[in-house]
Amino acid sequence: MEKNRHDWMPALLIGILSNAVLRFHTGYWSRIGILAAGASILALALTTIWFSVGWKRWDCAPLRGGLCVILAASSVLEILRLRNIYESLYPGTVGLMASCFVLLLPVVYLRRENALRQTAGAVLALLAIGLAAMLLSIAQQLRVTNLQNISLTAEEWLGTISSQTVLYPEYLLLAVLPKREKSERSAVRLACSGVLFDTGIHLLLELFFGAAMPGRSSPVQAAAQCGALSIFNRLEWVQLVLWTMAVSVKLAVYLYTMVELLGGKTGQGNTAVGLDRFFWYLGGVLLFCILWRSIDLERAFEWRNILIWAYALPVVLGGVIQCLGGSRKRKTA
Amino acid sequence: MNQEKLSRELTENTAFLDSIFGNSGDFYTRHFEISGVRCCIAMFAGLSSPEKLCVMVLHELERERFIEPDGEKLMQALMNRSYLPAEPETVKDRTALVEMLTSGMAVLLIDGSREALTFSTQDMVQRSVGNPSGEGNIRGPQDAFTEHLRNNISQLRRQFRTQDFVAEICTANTRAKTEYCICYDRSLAPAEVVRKMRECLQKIRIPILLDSTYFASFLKQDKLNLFPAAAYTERPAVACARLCEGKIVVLVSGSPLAMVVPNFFAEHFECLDDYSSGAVFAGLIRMLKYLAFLLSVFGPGLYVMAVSYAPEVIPVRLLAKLAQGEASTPLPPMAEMLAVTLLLEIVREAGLRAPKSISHTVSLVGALILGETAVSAGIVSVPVLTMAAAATIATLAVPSLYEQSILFRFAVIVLAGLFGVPGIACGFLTVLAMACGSDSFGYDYLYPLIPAKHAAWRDGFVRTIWSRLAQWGEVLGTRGEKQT
Repeated sequence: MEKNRHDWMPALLIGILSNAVLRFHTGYWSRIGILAAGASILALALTTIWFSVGWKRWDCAPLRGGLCVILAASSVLEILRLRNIYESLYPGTVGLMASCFVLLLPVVYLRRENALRQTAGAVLALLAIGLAAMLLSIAQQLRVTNLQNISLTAEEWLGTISSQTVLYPEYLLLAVLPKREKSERSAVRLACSGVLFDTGIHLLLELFFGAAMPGRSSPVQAAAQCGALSIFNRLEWVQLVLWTMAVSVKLAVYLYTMVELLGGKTGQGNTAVGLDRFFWYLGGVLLFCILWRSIDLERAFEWRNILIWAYALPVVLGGVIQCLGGSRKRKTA
Repeated sequence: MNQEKLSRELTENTAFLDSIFGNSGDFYTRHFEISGVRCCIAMFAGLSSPEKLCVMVLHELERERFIEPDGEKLMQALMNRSYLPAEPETVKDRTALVEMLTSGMAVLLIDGSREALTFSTQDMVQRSVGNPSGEGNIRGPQDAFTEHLRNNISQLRRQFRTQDFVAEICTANTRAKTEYCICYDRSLAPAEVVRKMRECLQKIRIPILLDSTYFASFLKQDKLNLFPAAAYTERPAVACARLCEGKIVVLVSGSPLAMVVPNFFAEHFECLDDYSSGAVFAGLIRMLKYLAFLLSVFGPGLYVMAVSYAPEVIPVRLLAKLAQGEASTPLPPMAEMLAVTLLLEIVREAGLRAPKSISHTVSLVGALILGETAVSAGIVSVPVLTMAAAATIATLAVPSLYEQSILFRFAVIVLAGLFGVPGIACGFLTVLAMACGSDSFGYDYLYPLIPAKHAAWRDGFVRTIWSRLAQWGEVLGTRGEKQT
């Protein structure tokens, strides 16, 4: 019987994988995606590692504040994105407030590290099963002939790599959250899983949609809607349940990290983050959800990516300098 | 309580006892002399036996001849040279005197001595060991704990015949000074868990302690979490099995339920019969229990969600039948399901609390007349009634999670009725998060189910064969190591 231990990988993985399934449009063709995956993994892994090194060296209040702003903004965007899916599938059923409620209620119980870790593990397993079920349900509609033979232009390469190297907040959280294993290994695992899963989803969508893939909005959802298994004609609700759970876990990780950064443990042997912070978070998220309810979400996510890169780059550069300085010292010694 | 030392004067000591117990009808004192020294025997008639007193003390005193000139020397003679079966420790202060009397001992006070002798003449009326009423099993031992703490400890010791079995008896911080006992195997139970448990129980201050379940709320870190912090059993055999896993069993005087900590979610789906029957059958039954729990919590909610928001979920033929049933009822599915579930709970509660002579009538009226008439009057539909009844029956397959099943079911019905598919997701994740967040003395509550490693298939979702189970005994503090 094992005691609690630090392992954030499932929670961070869920955050990254959910981005792949909830994307608005596909970003590249799978053939070029597979070819570019190695470079993207390397770029993301190195960025994550150097950010970790830089964070350890330059950790200060403004940096923490900046990350908290990114996480809070990401929380709002995630809720709005999922709310759009609710609206497209079940119009008029779930309002904005209701979306916030259903996504944030479980977060009350995900304030403890072991709760987050285990729940994330379970949700990850369920996501895998759900994805397998979806694959089974649309298996008859997958055609190898749908794979596109596109030319490998510089523009395609650039577009693919930029789409694969979106710096999600989860890559930065690896540096912040308490960890059990070496962060380098975790960074490589995270980058590998994220890029390969994204490429896999693109391959699946290309097999399903063929040349029409780039034009489809919310492509994974559209593919899930076409699935049928045995006597069940529609199975996208299962996917929606799983995506809702994944986003809730993601929000819980964001809240946990924010409280870790700003300080707010309950104390006295209780390892949960304080509920007092939760109400600030809930209030803030609600307010910004109302303010941003009609923004262009696809553009907002692009801006978020730019913001994260702009935030991370100085820290990453600091990390690079630190690493170079360290290796020079070792050589001199 | 008065910590004052006993007086040398017998009259002062008896006056003290009269001042506190004098009005009690069951308080008994008898004054007499031994070799000219005034003595007094005190006891409670309902707790101590006068026959035992006569045989153990008075007859012995008559037989032996004492020629001691004063109380102090008489006390020494009685303690050291007589055959009187007195307790080895004498009573020296008033607190101990009261404690001894209220625990059923007879006390011999001697004039001129600052100490008193105690005799174990306890004879309390108690229930004999019977069959467990709430933990049904076909095979295995059929005895149950009783309300008597010492008997319960002896039942455990009879099954657990090793030098490592420890039974620490402590007094709770209550008005009634109720005794409880922390039992564990010192070679298997992690010392840290035992220490934490001991400290935690010592810190608890409650006005009254009638059951071991009173402790459970104090052991919880997250008070918002609905999953139980401890497991309970009324079977010494189950308690003994838990001791072998390195767990701690807490017995409380007056309670026939033993509390087991740390406890894990999977344990609610285990029973003694699992280990008596074949592995394949036991595995099947265990899987059925997990399914029953899921059905009891999410079944009615899923029905409400499907009928209200996502009819595409339901296969076409079934949908036609459900639509037919729903069309004839005036209430929306959520209200209908809530009403039926509430009614079933009221019937259950009434059947449980009502005198036995009329409890059958309550069940009959509730189940047959109300159900039948509600359907024929078109107030509720047959599918709703069927689903609610199935969920209620499924709840009984895992009786130790009954409270949780009911609460979660209501919450899921409301969430599904208000928000549809996202509501179900919210309900499922909240239940999962609660289970994952239950901190059982630092151990993962969902062990061995999550992460689903070998242990989950050894004795978790299913049970493996005994020869393998014996090799991989699950003991707290080990990491699934093979037993040598």
